[in-house]
Amino acid sequence: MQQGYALDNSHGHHKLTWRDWIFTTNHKQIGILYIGTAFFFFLVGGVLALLMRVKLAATGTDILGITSEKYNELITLHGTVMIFMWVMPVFSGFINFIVPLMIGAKDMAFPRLNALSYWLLISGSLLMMSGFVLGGLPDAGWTMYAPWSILSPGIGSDTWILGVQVLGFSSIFGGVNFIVTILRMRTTGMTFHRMPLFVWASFVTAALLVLAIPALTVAVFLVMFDRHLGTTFFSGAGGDALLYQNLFWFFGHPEVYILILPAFGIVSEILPVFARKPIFGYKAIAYSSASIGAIGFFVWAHHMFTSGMPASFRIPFMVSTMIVGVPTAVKIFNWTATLWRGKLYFKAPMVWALGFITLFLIGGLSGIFLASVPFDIHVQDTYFVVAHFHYVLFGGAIFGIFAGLYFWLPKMFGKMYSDRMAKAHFWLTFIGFNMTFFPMHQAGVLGMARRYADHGPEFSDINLFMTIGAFVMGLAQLIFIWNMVWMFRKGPVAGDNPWNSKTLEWQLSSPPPAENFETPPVITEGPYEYGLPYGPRVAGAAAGGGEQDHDFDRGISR
Amino acid sequence: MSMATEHAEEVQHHSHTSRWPIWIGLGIGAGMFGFLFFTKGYTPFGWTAVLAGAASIIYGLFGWVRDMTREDIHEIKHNVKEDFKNIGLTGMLVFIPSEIFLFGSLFASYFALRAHTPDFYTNHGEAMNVLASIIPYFNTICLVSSSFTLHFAEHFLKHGKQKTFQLLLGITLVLGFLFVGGQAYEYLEFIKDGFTIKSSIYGSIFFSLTGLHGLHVTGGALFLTYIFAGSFRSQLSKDKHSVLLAASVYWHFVDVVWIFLMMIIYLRWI
Ligand SMILES: [Cu+2]
Repeated sequence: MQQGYALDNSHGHHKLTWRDWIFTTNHKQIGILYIGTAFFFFLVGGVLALLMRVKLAATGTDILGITSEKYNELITLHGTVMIFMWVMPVFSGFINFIVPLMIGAKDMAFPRLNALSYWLLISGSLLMMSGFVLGGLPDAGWTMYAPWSILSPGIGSDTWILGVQVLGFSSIFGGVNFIVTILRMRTTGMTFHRMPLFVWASFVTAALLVLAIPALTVAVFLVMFDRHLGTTFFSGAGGDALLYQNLFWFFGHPEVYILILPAFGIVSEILPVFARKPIFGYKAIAYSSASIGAIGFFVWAHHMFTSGMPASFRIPFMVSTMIVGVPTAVKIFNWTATLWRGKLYFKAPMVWALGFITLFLIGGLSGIFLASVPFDIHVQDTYFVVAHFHYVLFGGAIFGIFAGLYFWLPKMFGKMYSDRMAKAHFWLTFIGFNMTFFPMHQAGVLGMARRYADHGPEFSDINLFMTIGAFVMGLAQLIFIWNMVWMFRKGPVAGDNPWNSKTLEWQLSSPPPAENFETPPVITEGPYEYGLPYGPRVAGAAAGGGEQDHDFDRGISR
Repeated sequence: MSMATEHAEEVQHHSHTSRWPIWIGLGIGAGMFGFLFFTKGYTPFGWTAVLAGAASIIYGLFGWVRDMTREDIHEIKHNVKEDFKNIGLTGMLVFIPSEIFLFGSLFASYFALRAHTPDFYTNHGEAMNVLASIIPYFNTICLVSSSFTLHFAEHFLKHGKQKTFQLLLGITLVLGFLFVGGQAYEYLEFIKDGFTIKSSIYGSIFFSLTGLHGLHVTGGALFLTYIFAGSFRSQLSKDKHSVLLAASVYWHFVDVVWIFLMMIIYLRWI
């Protein structure tokens, strides 16, 4: 433990009762609640995906009773659950747990509002899942395109609309809270340019939540009016189905950055720690996050190249979309340069982070293909698009999530998982992922249409192969669950700073005390000063960064 | 050292639990479930859920507000150093861009629908007379002048003139509720003339936009009512009125939205 932190760990470590959990306003408990809830829905969304793959493994049969109608429900719920109830809340969980610690704050700016955001997540998720009980699941796709979302009988669309509305409120309140926390709760000396890059990424993500979700709110409210009040916004006399698409994608494209930016932040934390080097191009990474967020509001119509939009609009949206590739590439280059001549330790978080870079790069490149109008028109609504967004959202976001989990779990619970199991989890997921999604590029270019419950016989073999890959991925997640069970039951004590990291959360006990910092720390330098002659970044702490690296060598084998 | 002790004492006062968020969060869910039951035809269940949800939200809100009030009074009495002065105002300033994008999306929809509908304004008969009547002007005067009264209320509070502050805040409230009343009257006139949310695309977007705005005015007026009530329990002083600043920024914002509504929807200048 470093000097300069006279931490009193005696208070705040009493055993938490169930009342403490459900009434909690502490950012760390709320963070863990978010992550736990999100992980449950990851399993739900995963089972839905496996059912889809079972259906697609063969042609012309309703295997397991999955009819074409049921398949529509599966694709709708799989996308919705994974986006709104897994990736978004799990990142809210990370931001909740980590950001106040990283900036030296006692809690979030508005702790009660923070708890309200979590309980709105629960309400929204229950509404979204209520079709299973009330009879009638949403089946218009996760985009709820009008007019089908309006014409779809039953209450499926209603459960989706009310659910997503409540989840949206949860995210907006969360976003406001994150922004105010980062603006106002930073400790002395924690300037914007000394904030860890995860905090930068969280800040931009929160801004996108606050600004993008209102368009979705409006879009689904108007669908609701069309369904129940007899208006004709999107269908019927005078209705404009394209308006729905414009509103939806004005939200929808920034949404994909909401899903990926926190992962960028996580990887930017992990690489310098496990390469024992300062991050390369700190400011470039920070500002590229901000510019990705800003440009993200000017690209939405690339989802609509074949929707009958005026041809003259296509070129500007193609260009703006391609421009996003520039700040994204800046990140990839900076991460690579961080690794260059680093002292690399291939622990589980690092392995997942490297997997993230590999897969996200492939997804990013296929995204540039898709930005190009002629190519996009050719592969619109084919499996090429499915391949692309799974490379960025699974290969990107979810690999980033697991990298972050393996990085911060010791801090959250004070216990260490099995590194070997974590790596087995990685390799099996990585292999299964590529078996499932890489062939989709080929299937898409050959013309296999997405969202259909069936496919031509020429796609039989490739689909069987993809289904096997999906089950390999599913199996891999069981290893993760087993690893967690093992960690909670007999995992060794992790120690306060098992990775010898320099960011503030690691300077506290594991788990941190209720109020985090007894006295607010004073920050004197940037967060990634690894392997440099001068000392750690907190005033008054023991000098000697080099010695700490030595400890890292001894403590952890390569 | 003494700073640290003082800090530690403050920490002891801090509670890490609150019963209210879960009541509000799940109450909103219950209310929404009520709507689902209605669409499903389970009317008694629907009413049960909606009423239970509303009760739970109100219970949670009252508890939340009561706790906030106690903390405010505690802070004023014990003169706790305000580490995060006006943090509520920061929160409001971050939230308002979200509101701008909310109204912006709906205004954008208005323009898109107008561009695609050939006879957008026509065929509304008598209703157009209401649209051009004195009511929207009356509403405009109420709302715009309430922005001024609120601004001067704030000004007098800063100069320690508590009574004048309360008087002006009271007038602001009356003007705000007059606006809400005016709009309700206008809606009734429209419905009498057969101009409703489903009579045409124009009606649909007209009621959506003005309705959303009306809800915001109502919310802002309730927020100001809470502050008005609190001003009698000395929750506000000339150094401590963060919550008033937040409320007044919100109120001015709602006022600006109305001016756009007036110019675009009523007067059709744009
Ligand atoms: Cu996009």
